[in-house]
Amino acid sequence: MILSILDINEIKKETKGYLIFSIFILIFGIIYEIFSHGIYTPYMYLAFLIPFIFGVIIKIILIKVNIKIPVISDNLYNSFINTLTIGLIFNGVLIIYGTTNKLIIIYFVTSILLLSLSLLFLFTRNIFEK
Amino acid sequence: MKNKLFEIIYNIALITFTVYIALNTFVLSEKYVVVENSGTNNNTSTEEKGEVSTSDDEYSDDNISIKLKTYTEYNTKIYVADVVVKDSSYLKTAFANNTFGKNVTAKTSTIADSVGAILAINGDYYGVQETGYVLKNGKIYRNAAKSNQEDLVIYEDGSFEIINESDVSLESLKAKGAYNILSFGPALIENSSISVSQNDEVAKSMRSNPRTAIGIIDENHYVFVVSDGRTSESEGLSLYELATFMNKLGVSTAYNLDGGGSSSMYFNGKLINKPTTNGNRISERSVSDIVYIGY
Repeated sequence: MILSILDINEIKKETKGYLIFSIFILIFGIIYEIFSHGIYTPYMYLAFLIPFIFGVIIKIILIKVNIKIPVISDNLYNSFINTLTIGLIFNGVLIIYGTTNKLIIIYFVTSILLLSLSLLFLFTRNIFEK
Repeated sequence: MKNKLFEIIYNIALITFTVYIALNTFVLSEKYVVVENSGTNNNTSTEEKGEVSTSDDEYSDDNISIKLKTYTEYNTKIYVADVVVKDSSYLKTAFANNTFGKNVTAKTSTIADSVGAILAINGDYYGVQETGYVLKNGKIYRNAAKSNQEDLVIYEDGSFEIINESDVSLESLKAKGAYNILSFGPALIENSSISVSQNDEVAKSMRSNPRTAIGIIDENHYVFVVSDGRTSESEGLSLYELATFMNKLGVSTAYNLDGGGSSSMYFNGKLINKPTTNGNRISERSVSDIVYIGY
């Protein structure tokens, strides 16, 4: 059950969703930088690349090559995109404000964990199914 | 929907965590140390002060002389308090609410009033940082060094030195006689030479902004400088412009403090400049500490 395969139409919907999300993050980053009184950070103005590359480009590639993706793998992968994007944006906010917070590391560690688990389920699904 | 349940729950958790970390960073206050004998000394005897003379732009007594002058350069209003003291012990720092902590803040004028300051400017806003030396009036509050952080050390004898936290421990600075440390930066002038460049792309921004800075001209002779900014009336200064201006005042060592909406100068019971965060509203921002002249 945990490794039931995601419908290709679902992946297409997600791709469109992440395109909209990427545009939103891009606009948010630009507007935030306009009001940043001269402090610019790539964490803010390049954050949109995360949902764009991982949520749009890679998903289009996956659709084209027709890879069978387990639902759980997709859930973890989407969670990785969301976590990394929010983490980068928030780190940008901290830099522009001129402060730090040790807890920010949780975003990046969690992102790596989610991506690793996603790939693990993707590549081992055949073993589990046997 | 069933397929998305994990994501929905996870995203709720992600948003909750983000809200918490935002509150932790910007709102929730934590009091670490309450300062005893905060330096408030409203009982300073008249004998000690001698004859006191005050006006809108001057203060003098037997130990302290302050002259306030306003300049307009670089389309910016700049307030300069020229300070001469008999003894460097009149140059002090103070925490908001007499408390060393996180997100413990108050307006410069409020802190200044509470300690009986004659002249005050906002400090280094240590409260938004998790690292960086905090040494106030001879007491160590935080000795966690911030990598490559340039600080201003004010020694007991009133002299200034620019140091890098990566190169020297707070304990060794204290052993050498450090009395106050300001940890914001960068250094603007060292050995009477400008030490920032026009192309200095430091995180503190080379764009025009309200600024606060402190400098030393010679023994027991200091300048406190605050510029307005972000308004049509007063554009603000880049770091290089600030350094150039202070160099013309004859400053041998100058150091940049927290600017932007924090920049504020208090003198003889009044706020002198027009602090603003976004240029739309004149309003004093709450800060975590001040540098002041007083008893």
